[in-house]
Amino acid sequence: MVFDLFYRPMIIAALLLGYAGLLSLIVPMALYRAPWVVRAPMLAIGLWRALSGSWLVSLVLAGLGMTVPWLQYEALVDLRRPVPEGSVGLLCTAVLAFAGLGLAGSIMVRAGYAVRRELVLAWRQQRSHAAGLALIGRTAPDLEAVVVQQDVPAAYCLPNPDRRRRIVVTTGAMQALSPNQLQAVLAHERAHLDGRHHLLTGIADGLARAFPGVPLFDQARGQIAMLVEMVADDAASGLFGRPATAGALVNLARASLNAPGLAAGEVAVRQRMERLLMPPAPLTMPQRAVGTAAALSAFMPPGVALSGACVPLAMLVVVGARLLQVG
Amino acid sequence: MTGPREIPRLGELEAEVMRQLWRRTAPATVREVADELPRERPLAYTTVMTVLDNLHRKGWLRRELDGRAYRYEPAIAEEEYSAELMRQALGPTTDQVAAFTHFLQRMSPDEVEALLQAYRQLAREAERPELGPKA
Repeated sequence: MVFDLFYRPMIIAALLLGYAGLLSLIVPMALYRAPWVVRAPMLAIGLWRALSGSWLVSLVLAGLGMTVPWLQYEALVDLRRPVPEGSVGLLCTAVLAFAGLGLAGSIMVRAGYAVRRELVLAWRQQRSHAAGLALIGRTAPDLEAVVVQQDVPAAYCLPNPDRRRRIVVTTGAMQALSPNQLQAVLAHERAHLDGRHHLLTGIADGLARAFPGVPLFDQARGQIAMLVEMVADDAASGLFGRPATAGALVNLARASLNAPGLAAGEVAVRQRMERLLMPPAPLTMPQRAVGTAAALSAFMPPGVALSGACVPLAMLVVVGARLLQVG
Repeated sequence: MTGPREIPRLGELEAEVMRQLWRRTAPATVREVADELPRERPLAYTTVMTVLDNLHRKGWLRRELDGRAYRYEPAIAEEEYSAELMRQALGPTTDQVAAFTHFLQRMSPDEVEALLQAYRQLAREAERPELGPKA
């Protein structure tokens, strides 16, 4: 009885914390730059997201689990049952509960705040930029894009600043590309918009900013940024061929030499180009199934912990009822 | 709230007037601007005058007194504004937030050279029939 009420929740919480620690360090090392990743970028993205979500859920559950012993105490008092022999002191359980709530709360608040900030800041910049584009850009209906008269080569998309998605391409970029290559670039950008990749990268960026000490999120951010480019490359290649997409990469890189240099962003161009020119074999169905199972299994530990917490949760309801003065 | 890199935004009418003035080759009066506006939105003279005055106040336009009326012309060249807009899209963003998804991120000249070399080598290898898709 003592074990069930007091020690089991603490063991579960400790196990969850250990699992989160494993996730933050060991598992990303295995996933990072694994050779199969470029063969199934969408699946890899899913895995990174599953790991990130599982880390958050595990920590929140661990924190909530730490409140259970104190809730048990309260429930026993409320039900006028005697406190079993050998159970932990009330003060100790109260301290644990306080710490647990602090942990769960701070994880949720930190993650929520950082992700929201990331998305809002990006949206504001996109909105301001869209207004500027309305002023100087010319819509090219045949291209479904906005053309800007500038020598500096650039092709990018603006997701959703005012419910109108835009693809922007400069005359400098158009001059550097063949018609087929230009179409490939536009298809690549359209894939970003269709797949809402700005949400994927925005959330990954936000979590990395929220938890800077955790290698998992830092690696997830870099990998997801690269992988969404590969997903968009696949979409473009499917429509206009890999040589056109690879050629667009190279021609735009060449053209950017003439334009004044600006700060370099994250560059995974080598991997993208190698992947386009020497396409790796896609994963087989069984391999995909294993990958999907792996992603889902990331949630198993917290799921099991939750089910193991059923009895204490019932106690939680009793205490809650008392607090709300019902019954 | 405006940071140093934030491009100022204009209302729809202000934008239309700005575009028109960029198209012109000489400074224009309120009457001339109003006449040139698309016919499907006939506007009061005072409305156009207010818009031009606002734009001047915000620093978009210069004006000179010609007799009793002002003549307005752009204070910022279209090219200059356009270049600034592209700099916003390409340059390091405020707070390092990646708001724009580029087809190709900016690369240093060394990186470009390395990419071109790799491309030439890969293109040569890809033509060899025995090198199929990587397993």
